[in-house]
Amino acid sequence: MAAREDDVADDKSLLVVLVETNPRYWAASEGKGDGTAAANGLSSVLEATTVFLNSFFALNQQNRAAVIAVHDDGCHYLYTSPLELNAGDASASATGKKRTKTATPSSRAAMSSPFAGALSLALCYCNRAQTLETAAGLRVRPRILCLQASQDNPTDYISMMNAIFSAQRQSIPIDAFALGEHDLPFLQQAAHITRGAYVKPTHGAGLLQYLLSTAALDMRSRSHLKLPAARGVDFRASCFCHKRPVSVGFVCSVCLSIFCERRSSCDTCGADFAADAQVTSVPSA
Amino acid sequence: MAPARDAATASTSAADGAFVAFLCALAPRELDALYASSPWSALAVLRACDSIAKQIILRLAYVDDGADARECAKWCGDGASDARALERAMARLARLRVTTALGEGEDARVVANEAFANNLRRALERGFVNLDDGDGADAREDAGVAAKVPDRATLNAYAKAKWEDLLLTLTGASNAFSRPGAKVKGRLDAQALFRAAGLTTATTAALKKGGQKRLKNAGVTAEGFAFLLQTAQEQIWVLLTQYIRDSQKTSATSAISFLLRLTFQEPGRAYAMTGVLSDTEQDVVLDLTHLGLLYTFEVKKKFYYVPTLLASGLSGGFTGDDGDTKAAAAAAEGHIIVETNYRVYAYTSSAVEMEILRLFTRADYRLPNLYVGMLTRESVQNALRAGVDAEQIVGYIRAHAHKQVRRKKPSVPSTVCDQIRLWARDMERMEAEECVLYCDFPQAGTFYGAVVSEAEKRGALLWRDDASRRLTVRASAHDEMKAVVGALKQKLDAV
Amino acid sequence: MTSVEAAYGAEGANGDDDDDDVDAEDAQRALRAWEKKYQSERAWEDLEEDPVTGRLRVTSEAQTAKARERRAKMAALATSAGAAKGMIRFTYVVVDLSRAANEEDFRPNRLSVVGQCATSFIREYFNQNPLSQLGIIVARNGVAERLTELSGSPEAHAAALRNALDASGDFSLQNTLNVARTSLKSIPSYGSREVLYIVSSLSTCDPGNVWTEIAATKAAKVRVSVVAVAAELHVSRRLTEETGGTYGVSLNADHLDDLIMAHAPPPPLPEDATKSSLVQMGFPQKKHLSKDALVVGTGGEYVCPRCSGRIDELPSQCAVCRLTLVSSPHLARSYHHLFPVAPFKEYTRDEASAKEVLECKACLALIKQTDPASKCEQCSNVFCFACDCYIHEKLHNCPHCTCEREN
Repeated sequence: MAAREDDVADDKSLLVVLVETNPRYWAASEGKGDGTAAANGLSSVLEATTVFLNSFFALNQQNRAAVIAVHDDGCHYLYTSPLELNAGDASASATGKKRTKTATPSSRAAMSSPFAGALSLALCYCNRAQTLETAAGLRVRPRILCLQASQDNPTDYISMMNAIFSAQRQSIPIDAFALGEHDLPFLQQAAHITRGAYVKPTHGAGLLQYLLSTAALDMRSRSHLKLPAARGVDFRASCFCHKRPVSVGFVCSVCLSIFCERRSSCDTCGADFAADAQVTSVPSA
Repeated sequence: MAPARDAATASTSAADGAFVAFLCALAPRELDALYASSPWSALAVLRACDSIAKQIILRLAYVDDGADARECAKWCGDGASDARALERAMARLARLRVTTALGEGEDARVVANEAFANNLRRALERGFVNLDDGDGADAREDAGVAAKVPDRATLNAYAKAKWEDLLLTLTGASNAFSRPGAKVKGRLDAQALFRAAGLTTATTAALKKGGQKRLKNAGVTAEGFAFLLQTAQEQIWVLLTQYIRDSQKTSATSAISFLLRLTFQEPGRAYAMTGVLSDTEQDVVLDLTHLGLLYTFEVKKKFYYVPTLLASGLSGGFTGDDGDTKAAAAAAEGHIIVETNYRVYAYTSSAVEMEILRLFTRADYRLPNLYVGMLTRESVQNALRAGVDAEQIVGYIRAHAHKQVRRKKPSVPSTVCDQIRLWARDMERMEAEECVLYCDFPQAGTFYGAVVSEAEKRGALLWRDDASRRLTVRASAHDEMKAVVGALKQKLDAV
Repeated sequence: MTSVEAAYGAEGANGDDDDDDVDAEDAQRALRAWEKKYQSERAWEDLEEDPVTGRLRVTSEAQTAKARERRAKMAALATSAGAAKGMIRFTYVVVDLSRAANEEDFRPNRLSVVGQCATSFIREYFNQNPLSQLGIIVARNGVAERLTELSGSPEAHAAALRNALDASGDFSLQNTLNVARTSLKSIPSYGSREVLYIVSSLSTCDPGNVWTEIAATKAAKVRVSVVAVAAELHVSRRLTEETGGTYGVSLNADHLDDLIMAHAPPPPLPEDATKSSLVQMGFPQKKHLSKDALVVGTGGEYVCPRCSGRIDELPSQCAVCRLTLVSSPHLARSYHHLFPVAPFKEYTRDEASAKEVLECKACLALIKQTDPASKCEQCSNVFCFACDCYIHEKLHNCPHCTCEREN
C-alpha cells in the first residue's frame, strides 16, 4: 500500500539564516586566522551565503527564508520572504537582496555578537510561520542556520540555553557554522540538543561547499542522508558569578545556580551555606 | 507511438512525477542538448527531482572532478532503507544524465554533467534574474501593454476555464476543443492529442453522443480515467509530452527549453513575443495559449504573452507522493468534504469536477454550487473497473479536500480510505486459471501420492483433496503431466 | 480559556483595577471546578454577528479579555518564579493497586488510566527536575512493595510500572507511608522529601495506628500529597494537611491527569524542610573515543573533567573519582524559573499612533489597531500578542533585551 498521508514529509522548508555582521569583529579579524572562513572577510561570507540562499530557493518553489543580521548593537531582519500563502512566488524575489549594515560601530568594544537574541528573534519568526501554516492546514518545517565568527559571550549563557530548549521543543534544528578560529561551545550544544549540524570549516575558502552539503539538507532528506558527525561537544557551563566557563563547579541545591568557587551564600536565591561547611555531592542511587 | 513506451512512461510517472518521466524518455543526446541550452532547464530539473537527488546535485554542482563513488555511498544514514533511497536517487540522476560515473573500482567517481553544472552555477550565482540575454526585454514599462495585462484573478479564471474545457472535451461533455481551429496558425487538435496519448480511443467522436453514461462508453481508456484524477500539473505534462513528441520539429529541445523557461517566468507579467522569440517558439506560444497555459494579446502590432498559474506550476517540484505539495497546489480550490459515513460533499460549480466525482461516487443531489454523492461499493468498483486505481481515488479526494477539513489530519477519514482500498482488493479476490482435474485414483496404493508429488515438483499443483483422492493441475502443465502419469502407471503396474 | 472565564474577564476589563479582580476570580473559580464542564456550553455569549458578512465571530471584547487574562496569568507566573523552590527533589510515587483499581468507572478501567498518568508524570518530572530522583511504591494485598529505588532514570521507572500493573487486595496507607519515610530518611539534607499518592481505594487496611505514622512522617519533614481517583478520604486529607502537601479529587480522566501533572514542577520550598548547600559537580565534555584507546571508567563518550575517566551517560557519578557529573543543559532547563522575563505591559495607542499599523518587533507580523499589543518595559519594543505569549510561556527570552544586555 502506498505511503499514508500522515507519514509523507515534504521538502518544503522555512530557513532562518543568522549571519554575523558585527563590524568590530570583522574590522579586527581582517586577514587573521589563516584558513578559516572568516579570514576572507565578511564579503566572501556574504557571497557564499547569497549563493546558498539562491540554491535554497531553487530547491522548491515554496521554500521561504528570512535573513537576520547579527550586529554589534542588535539584530536586524535583512530579508524575509512573504509568509502568507499565495502571496507571490518566492523565487521571483529571491535575488538575495542583502545589505550590510554600515552603521558606525559604537564606542563600546563589543567583540562578540548577540546570537542569543538573534536566535530568539528567529524562533519568534518560526513560531509565527508555524501558527499561520497550521491554521491553513499545512505543515512547515522551519530550521535555523547560524553563521557565527566571533566568540561566544558567556553572559549569554542562560538566554542561549532558553532559546535552544524552545527550539528543541518545537523540533527546529539549529545548524551552526563556526567561521572563526575557535570552537563555539554554545552553538555546539545548540546543534547537539536540537539535532542540527555543527560545522567548523577547515578550508575557509570552501564555505559554499560546506553550506551546500550540510545546511541545504531539508527535514525530509535528513532522515536519509547523514549530517556530519559531531566530533565532540563542549558541555561546560558558565558560572553565574564571573561568567567564566567552568568544567567543575559548585551548584546551589536550592536554585541550581553554578559558581566557580566555594561561597557562603547563594547570590541568586540567598540560600545560606554557612551551616553546611562540608561540600556534599549527590549520592547516586 | 509504440504502446509499450506509453506504458513505461505511465509507470514511471507514478513514482517520479510526469516531468521526470518525460525527461527519462528523451534520448541521451537530446538531454545533453537540453542541459546545455539554458540555466532554466538546469533549475527546472533540480526542482523536479526528489529531495535526496536534489541534495546530491547541490553537493556535486561545485566539484569539478566529482566525488569518490565510495564516499558518496557513505552519505546516507545507517539504515538499509536509507542506502536504498540514496541508490535510487543516484540511479535516477544517472538516467537523467545529470551525473555520470567515471572510472571503475577504486577510482570510481561520480561527476556532474558539465554543461548542467555550468548552467546551474550560473543560475545560482546570478539569482534567477537576467539569465537570458533576451529575458531583459521586460514589457512592463510600456503603459499600453500594462493596461492590457489582465489581473491575477481574471488570469486564473481564464486558465482554469480553458483547462476545464479541455478536460470536458476528453470526457466528451464539451465541444470546445474539437472544433477545428484551422484559422489560427498552430492551433492544435486536442482530440488528436488525447488519442495519441492513449487517453481516448479512435472511436471517441463517434460514440460521444451517449447520454447519462457517457463516461463509461465515450471511448475513454483506462489511462484516460487515471489522467482525470491526476493533478493539473501532471495532466499538463502528459499532454505536453505528447505534444512535443508529435511536433515533428527538428529542434525538440529548443521547444522544451522554452517550456522550462516559461515555468520560471512570473505569472501575470507580460513578455514580448514579436522580435524576441524564434519562429518555433512563437508556434509553441500559440499552442500553449490554446491550452490555457499562456494568455496572448496584441499591442501596436506586437504580440505579448502572459504566463498563467498553470504554466508556473509546470516544474513546481517533486510530486511523487507529496501530499502537501499537491494540497498546496490545490489550496485555492479545495472543495471536497468526505464524511465517515461515505457521503461526499463538493462545493463546486465546475462541470469537470462534478464529472470526475461522478466517476467514483453515486450522485445524490446537485445544487448550483454543491454536489452531494455517496461513495458506495458499486460506484467505487465501477471506477476501478474503468481503470482507475484505489490510490488515485484516495489521492484525489485528499488533494482536493476542503479548506475546513484540511486542518484535521488526516483530512479524509482513514476508515473511508481503507474501505476504498479494501473494495479494490475485493475485486482481486478471485483469479481464474485454467486447470485439469485428475480423479478416480485407486483407493489404495501409492499411485495418487506419487502423482501429487510429481505435480508439486513441477509447481503445477493447484489444489488437492486427499480424502477423495483428487487433484487439479495447471492446464499448461497438463501435457507434461500426462506423460509423467503414464510413466508412473507403467512403473506401478510393472511392480 | 472557557467562556465563563472570558465573561468574567470582560467585566473586570471595565474597571481600572482589573488585575486584582481577575486574581480574586481565579481564587473563587478554583472552588467551582465542577462547573467547568458546563462552561463551554455558554460559548454563545462570546459570539456576535458580523454586520457585513453576517457570519458569527468571537467578539473583540472577548478576545481582548482573553488576552488580558492570559497576561495576568503570565505576570502571576513571573512573580512566583522568584520564590525559592526545592530544585533537588526526592519523591516516592505511591500507586494504589488494590482491588479498587479494577473499577471500570474510567475507561477501560482505573488501572490503565492511572498507569498512563503515572508514566507521563514520571517523564515530565525528570524533564522539569533534572537533578531529582524518584522511586515507585505499589500498594497491593495490604502490603507496600517498593517497585523501584530512588533513581534518576525515567525509562527504568516507566518500564517497572508497566510490568507491575496488576491490582488485587487492600490498600494500606500506614505500610506505604512507612516504607517511603524510612527510605527518605537517608537522603542528603538539601533535598526536598516528597511522597505522591495516587489512591483509588476508599479505605485503608492498616496493621496499627495510622496517626502515629502520620506524626512520624511530619516529624521527618516529608511532604505528602494525595490525588484521589474516587472520592475524598478523611485520613488522607488530614495526612496532606499535616505534612503541608496538597489534596485533589479527580472528576474524570483528564482532570486526574491535570492533578497528577500539577506535581511535576518544583514546589515552593518550605523554610525549615531542607538545608541549602553547595554541591560540587562536573560538566563533562563529549569527546569521540577512538576504538583502540585505553580508557579509565566505563568507557563512554563523556570525559570526567576532574580525572578524565570515561562515562556512558549523564547525569551520573564518575566511576573513578565519585564526582557528580551532569550535563549543563540539564541544569539550564530550569533556569527560566530563576530569571523570568519581566511581564510586558499592554501597549495602548495614544492619539498620534492610533491609526498607525505597527510591526511586531519579533516576528514582523502587522499589528492592526484592534489587535492587542504588548510593550517590553526594558527595551521599549512593541510585540504582537502571539509573540508576547510565546516569549513568556515558551521562549523565556525577550529578543531585544537579550541583544542589548550583551553590551
